[in-house]
Amino acid sequence: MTHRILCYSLGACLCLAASAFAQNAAPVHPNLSGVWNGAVPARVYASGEKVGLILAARDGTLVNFERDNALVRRMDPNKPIYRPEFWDKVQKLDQDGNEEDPSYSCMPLGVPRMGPPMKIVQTQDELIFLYAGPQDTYRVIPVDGRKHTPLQDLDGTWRGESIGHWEGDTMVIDTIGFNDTSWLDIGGYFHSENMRVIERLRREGNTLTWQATVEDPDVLVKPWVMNQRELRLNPDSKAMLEETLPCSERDLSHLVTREHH
Amino acid sequence: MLLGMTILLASSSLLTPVTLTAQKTTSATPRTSDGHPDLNGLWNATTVNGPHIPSEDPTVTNLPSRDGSLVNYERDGALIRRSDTNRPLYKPEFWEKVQQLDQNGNEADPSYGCMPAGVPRMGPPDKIVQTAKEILFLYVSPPARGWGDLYRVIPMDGRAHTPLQDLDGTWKGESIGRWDGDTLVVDTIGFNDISWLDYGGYFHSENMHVIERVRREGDTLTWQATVEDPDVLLKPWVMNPRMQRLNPDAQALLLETLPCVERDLSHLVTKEHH
Repeated sequence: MTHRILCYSLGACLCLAASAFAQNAAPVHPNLSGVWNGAVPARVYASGEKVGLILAARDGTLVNFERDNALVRRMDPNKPIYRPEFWDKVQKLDQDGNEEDPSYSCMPLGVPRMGPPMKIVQTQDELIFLYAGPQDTYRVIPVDGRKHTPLQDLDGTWRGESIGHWEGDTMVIDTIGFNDTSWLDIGGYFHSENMRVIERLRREGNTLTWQATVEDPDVLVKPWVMNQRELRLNPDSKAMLEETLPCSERDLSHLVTREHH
Repeated sequence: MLLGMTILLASSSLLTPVTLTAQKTTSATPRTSDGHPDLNGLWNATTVNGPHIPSEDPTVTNLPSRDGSLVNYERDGALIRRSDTNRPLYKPEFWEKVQQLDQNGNEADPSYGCMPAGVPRMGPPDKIVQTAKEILFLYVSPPARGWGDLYRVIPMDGRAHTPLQDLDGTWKGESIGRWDGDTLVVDTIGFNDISWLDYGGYFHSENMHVIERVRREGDTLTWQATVEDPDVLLKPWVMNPRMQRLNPDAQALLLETLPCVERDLSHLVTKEHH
């Protein structure tokens, strides 16, 4: 950003001189490549999230980690606001969350519930997002100026069709083409096939800020501006992502309460 | 098969690459700025908007079934694969185990229970992303290749393997890549002993070592894997090479795979495994 302002203030002459080179040189964008908060075999775990899943349980141990974590998340006042005709549905899904939440039966989380990536590989015309856990998968995000496929021509998927573009130094990822199976979070937060998700990523030094906004006028009163999450760059440039154990649903039939976390 | 044999010899540098090039497309192999072959692209991948690029490889499962339709596709594909003479040769003390696993393949084959296929069963990637320091292999997963749209990150920075005893055995193992001339060589150790090499009960030990060779000639990519596992195999298994073509649509995207849900196992009435 500083660079751009400087260029304008130095006058047209310098800019014209530079433009001959600029036509051949790639625009200088922030480099998002790296492992972000990734758990690595060497146990270098860099967690800097102000809002995230890494919360101490009531007694400082991990014994009640899941239960306490769910309680804290449920107390968050930032929730998607559903249209009144869906309040019963959300409540029902929430109460039956152990059965209804697709992530409880080894289904993918989908966008935006899968959150920020653990590793980014940035090339000239695309971003690769790699996720390690709870399921290992990837997203390929073209940054080549293409337009979305018309929604009616897309099969709804968990990850949708993502296209990225730069707004100044912010990477903006626009995604449509979802199924209506995935949830936005625990709490019965379903969505429609017309959902649109806009993710914004911004690197400041070695901190990456990820923030997603969910637009779904079919079911939401207004767009849901999700809490932003901050990630720190893993300082070990050789760090590798850990392979996640494959999901195998064994517990569902043994649950004795409907508590969902 | 003749073609496959020739490529195999060429990749072990007994023949010059010229022999191979003469048989293949005449288009030049693109190179990255650091001079290595450019492996970037979608290879044989099923895409959202683009065409499915058929394989040139006679040994993969894209085979017509007996009546030219897809009705007996899975069954005929399995029969043809079973008649392939190129198999891993197990030490005699494991023959009964392999047979037993094979006969109970529907239960015993991990890819039938939505587990990952693992290396080398997951085969060549559907998309490659190549940077100076690492190569990404991205996979879409037809059911025969197990669970999930998985990736592999293969460092190209000259690092050495972690000592085997310090690695937790995984499905994909620890892969490290290097260039051997114009051939990408991916060396992988650190496996679990759950994955299979293929159906047929072809299990392996945690000491397995897999070497994959990836070579681009024009718009054709040849992938070939060799499995070393002296704990259970009499000699390394040199797998059939597989050839893939570059998807000509530079904007093509990989198709998202439906998640694996095991619903059929309890309904199978025979032990036929395909």
